[in-house]
Amino acid sequence: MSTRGKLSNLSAAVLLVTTQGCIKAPPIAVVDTRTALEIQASGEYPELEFEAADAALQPGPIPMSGKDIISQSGLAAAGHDLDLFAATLSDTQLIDSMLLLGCLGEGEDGLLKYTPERCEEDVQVSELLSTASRANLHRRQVWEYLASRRPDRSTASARDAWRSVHLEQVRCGAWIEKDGTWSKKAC
Amino acid sequence: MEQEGLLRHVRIWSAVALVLTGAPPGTVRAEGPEVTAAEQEVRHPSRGLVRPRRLTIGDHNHFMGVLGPEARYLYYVTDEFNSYDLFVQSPIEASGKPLFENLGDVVWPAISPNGEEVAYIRYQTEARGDACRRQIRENGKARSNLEECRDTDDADLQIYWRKDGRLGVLLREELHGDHVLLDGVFQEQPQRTEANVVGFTLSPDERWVAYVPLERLRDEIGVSFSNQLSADGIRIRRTLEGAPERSYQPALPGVSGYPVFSPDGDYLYFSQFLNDTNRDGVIDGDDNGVLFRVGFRGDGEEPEFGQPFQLTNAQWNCHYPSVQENAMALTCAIGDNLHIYLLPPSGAVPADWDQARIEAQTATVRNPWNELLLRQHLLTGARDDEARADQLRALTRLHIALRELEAAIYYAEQRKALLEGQGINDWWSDLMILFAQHQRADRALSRGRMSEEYVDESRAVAAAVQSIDVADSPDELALQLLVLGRIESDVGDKAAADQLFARVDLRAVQDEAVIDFAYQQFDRFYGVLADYETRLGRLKEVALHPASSVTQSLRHSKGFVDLLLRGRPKDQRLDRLVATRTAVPDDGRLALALDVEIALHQLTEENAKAIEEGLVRLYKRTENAHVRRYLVLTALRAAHRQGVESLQHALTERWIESVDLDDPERRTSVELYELVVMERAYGAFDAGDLESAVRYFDDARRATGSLAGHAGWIDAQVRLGSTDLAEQYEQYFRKRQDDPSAMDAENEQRFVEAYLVARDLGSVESNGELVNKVQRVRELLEAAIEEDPHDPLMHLLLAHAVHHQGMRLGSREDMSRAVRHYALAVDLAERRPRVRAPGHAGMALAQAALTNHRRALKDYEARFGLPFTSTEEEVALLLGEARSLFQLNKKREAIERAQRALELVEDDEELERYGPLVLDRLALYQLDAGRTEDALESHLALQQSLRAHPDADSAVNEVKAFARLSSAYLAAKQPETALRFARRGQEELAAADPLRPDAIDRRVRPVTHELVYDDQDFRALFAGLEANAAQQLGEWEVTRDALIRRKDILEGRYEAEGVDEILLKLAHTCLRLAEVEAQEGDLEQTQRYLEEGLDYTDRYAESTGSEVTEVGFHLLRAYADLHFDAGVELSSYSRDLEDDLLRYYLFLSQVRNPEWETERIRFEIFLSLLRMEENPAS
Repeated sequence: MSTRGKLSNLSAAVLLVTTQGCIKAPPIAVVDTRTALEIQASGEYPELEFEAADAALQPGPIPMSGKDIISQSGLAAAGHDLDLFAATLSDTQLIDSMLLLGCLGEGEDGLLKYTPERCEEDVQVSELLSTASRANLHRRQVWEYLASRRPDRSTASARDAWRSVHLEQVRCGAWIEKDGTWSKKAC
Repeated sequence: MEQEGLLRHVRIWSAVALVLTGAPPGTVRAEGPEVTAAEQEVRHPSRGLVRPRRLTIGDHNHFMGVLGPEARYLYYVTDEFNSYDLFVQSPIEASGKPLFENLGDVVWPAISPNGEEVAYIRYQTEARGDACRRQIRENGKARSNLEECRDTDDADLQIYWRKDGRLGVLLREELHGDHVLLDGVFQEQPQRTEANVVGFTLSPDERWVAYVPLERLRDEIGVSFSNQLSADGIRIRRTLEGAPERSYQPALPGVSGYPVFSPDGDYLYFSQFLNDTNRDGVIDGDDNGVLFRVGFRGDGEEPEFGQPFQLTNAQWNCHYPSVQENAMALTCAIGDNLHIYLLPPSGAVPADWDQARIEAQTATVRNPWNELLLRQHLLTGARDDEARADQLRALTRLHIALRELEAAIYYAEQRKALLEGQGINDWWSDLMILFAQHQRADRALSRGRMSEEYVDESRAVAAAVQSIDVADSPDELALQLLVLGRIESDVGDKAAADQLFARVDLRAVQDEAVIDFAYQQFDRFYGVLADYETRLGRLKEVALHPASSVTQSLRHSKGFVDLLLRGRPKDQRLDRLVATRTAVPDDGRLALALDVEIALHQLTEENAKAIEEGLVRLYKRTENAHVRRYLVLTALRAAHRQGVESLQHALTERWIESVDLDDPERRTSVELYELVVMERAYGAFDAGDLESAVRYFDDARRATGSLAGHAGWIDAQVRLGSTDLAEQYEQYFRKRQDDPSAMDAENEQRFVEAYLVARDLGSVESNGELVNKVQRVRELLEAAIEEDPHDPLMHLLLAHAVHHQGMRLGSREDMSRAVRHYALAVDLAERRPRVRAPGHAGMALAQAALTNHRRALKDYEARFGLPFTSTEEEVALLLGEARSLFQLNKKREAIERAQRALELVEDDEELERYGPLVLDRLALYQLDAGRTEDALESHLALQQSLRAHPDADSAVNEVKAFARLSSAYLAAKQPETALRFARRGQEELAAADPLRPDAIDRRVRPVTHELVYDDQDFRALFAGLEANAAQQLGEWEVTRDALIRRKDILEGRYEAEGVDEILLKLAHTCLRLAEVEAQEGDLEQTQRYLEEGLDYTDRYAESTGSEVTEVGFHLLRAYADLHFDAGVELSSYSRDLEDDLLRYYLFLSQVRNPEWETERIRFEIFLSLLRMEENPAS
């Protein structure tokens, strides 16, 4: 098949013009396919088109400043190159990173909440839920233990006291629920 | 298919392709300092562990890679076209191409020993596979389209070649039957053997077979569907009938599978599944695979094996080794897709590294899976039992940290057996085994295990921990309490845990592993308790502990400092650090960590020099390499975090000077020095301080051979007006050659020469000259890449050069090659945004040129996520993105991008010349989106811009402008104006001589088609526009004349070119003419045009195989209306209306579309009416 024939086959989605009455043909349109339209209707500026392409093609690194990279892209130019030690991710570190990414939040009830609506990372949800659920079980056990140390204290008040101390140690930027609203911890 | 699922799917056919060439086996090969020339080629000698070199590219899965003889070509399976197809890369660096056209799936390629045939399993007509073979040429390409296939009811599962060219197949005859080996399947009498195995492999001399037995789990279900890999390892036996079967169980945790012999028969390669990496409770072939090889000797009656050596990092999850003499192709899951990678046959640890070199590397490695790889080598090569016990302990600790508990238990048990064999009580291993068992139970709890069972098991483990006699040793007592505390905490008795941890007394502890364990447990438990003061106190106690090594002590100190600051308001942090420092003795690592942190917390651009002087003083106070490394890295982290580029690089300079050339730390120090100096250079460049930028780039290139340093130095010099760069470089490299201490500069020299040529390709006027320059760049860079394939800048520069050539010559092949190298550049520059940015930009433009607009949009998005230093580049990419969006019918977004480009152009005098181009595209996209008024406004602006830039104007643009205006006014229901512009366009066209200026070399040419709209195309277009306008005005004579003119032009074109698409245009024009004649009441002429139109659609269908067409549908509807509504007799019809209707009706019934449903019903009614006419009584 010729090139033009192939182009024509691309136009499977042309509009069907429904007509009533006797013979009614759809108008001859400038559009056949997107490419054909581009070829027949867009202006030809070979020198400008070439200059634009040439400007977009860079043979080597683009000399962005480190500040721009950090401020505009949120990236560190160095990344993991500056890791100090061999790193293995503990459950605590996983929870920390998920709190910063918005995949988990520190709920008002003292428990970790899964917050998929804010989570843009491609995380292993089953792993995350299982880790968070185990951490929540530990928290409940801690509240009971703390309540048991003082006869006048209920589990709920132990939880509230625990939470206020705990939130001081939660990393800056972690998502925290307060009065039904979620926000990042500011430092 | 999900990656894991895909691997599982692939493993169903699980065997490894055989390579049956090579000499008979000799002695059992020991790993040692043998290194082949090819291995040297694959790796870079001075750069640590060998990284796998990726051979395949793209966002699809590529697997089952098989290398051809001497690694001249590579076969692999890909799902690029949504089925499994066999691709070839010849040479292996080339782009992949289908080996042959195929329907259905093709998997499991295997090359015959003489290299003349390829066999594979084809799933074309049914779910059961058929073994096939076809001839190939020396470069791996298919010789012809002829294939020979088994066509049986068997399910062929795996294939293997025999030395004599016979093909063997492992198959299943019945759905739930056992596996059978059929040797010589294309011979008259194949040999049949029962064999419930997978991974069947023959030694090159065919004396031995190795395989993995499958155990049937349920009698009633076939072994293919219900099985497990045998825990007894790989089986091996002589090929003689009745020979006994032997088991090879490597001294490794987990299960083994998929053996394959090396071509010389001296090694057996196999996959080891070390851990339950997918956490489904079972270690099996669905977990991450790690490749090993073991020396093999098979010239006697019994097989002999050496020690197994780990070849790949467990994180890579590698499978399917295809081993040639000099290279090994693997399928690994590194990143988002499966890809084929290349490694030396000796794996990631260079074959010439001795124990000392591996130990040195281990001390600097930061990836725990790489540490495991290195330590496995240290264990295998350990000089004595003491060294072996040390490695077993290190491996246990690492696996526990990675929560790879089965492996941890395995290594701890090995250590216990080793030490107890010498009469030594290995309490550490005892406790770690119990701890890992408890952890394993805890994990099972997360998978839904009953908590009562869990508590019972944990209590039993706790009892076992308590039963260990630890009375004599503070280390043992501390570790026992820590393990017990952890168990009590996990089972929910926080009070007991609290008491146990409180009893842990570290003062007399001497074992640093116990101290580290204490750090982890204190941090975890008091963290959960939110008992901040106790946590801080105990971590401080650990950080100050004198028994820790320097590295461990620094790690604990850093953890303590992090805890001190985490979550605290910025304005309180310094005070907290200072207050804590006063209570810490001066001479320890903790004091150092606090001093460094205090200094860096005050770091600003202004005081950077003073801070650095303070850090240098700290640096000078120690000779310890670990401390120095800590100082430098911490300082650089802070500088990066706070964006302070002016932190002097004296620290890294000092560090690099203090590290010996052969020290593994050298690589880290050199990389960091490059990083620091380059950051300063880019900062200066960005600030316009080009002299400083030149100085820093010069420092980087001289000290580290940095290619980015060379590129930056050249760019900055050019901006400063230097013109003699080639001469300067000649001197530069001459001096380097004369300096015996200088690094090998050959690749740098190649890069520099290529960069000097390629950076100016845009200014080359003639295509002939361009081709010569690109050829030279390719020669230089391809040689450099062959030597070191991992530098993204080499790939970026090569992509840049071939992209230029591709776009100027309209070469699809060049553009595909550019895509390949852009992909590699972006992949390799994961952490280098300055390199990723041009990689994504180039990739976006190249993919768009290849009409892969969806893929292009991803790269545009990635590029726009990074900063720009040139508005011109931003404008160009906005225009490119707008074009891809337009192509994908994303009209609103296309207009937005073009408008943004216009804003940038209007704000920058230097870019004003782009005005006509940007306005032209904007007008087109607005017109396409139906925003006629906006389009007309943009058009007016375009005319003004063209008046300001007459050089950009040309006759063809005038003609196109009238076509577009006519079209716009038609859409705006202003037919008079539309008609006027259509006629003016025709006048302009007639007067245009030439229509286009002479072709120049320096322009962008399309790579996917050669379509150019010529004057005949324009004449037909204007005739159509004129007809449309006249029709809206009710001027039927004018409409008819215009349409007949259009028809004549199109007939002439078809006569000359025979292009199928013109047939459809002709059919369409006939339909329009029929409409005019119907309007004028001439039904006879109407009928003739409809029949002529339908004839054109028939010819189109015959030529292209398209059953029905849009225009044919309208013609047929009109043809039926002519009979049923206008009463024209069927007897006068030259076509069989019923046949035509039936054909279209059947199509509409098969391809149901809600929008066409009314018409389908209408056709059904037409057909019923016709039948009623034929048989009125029915």
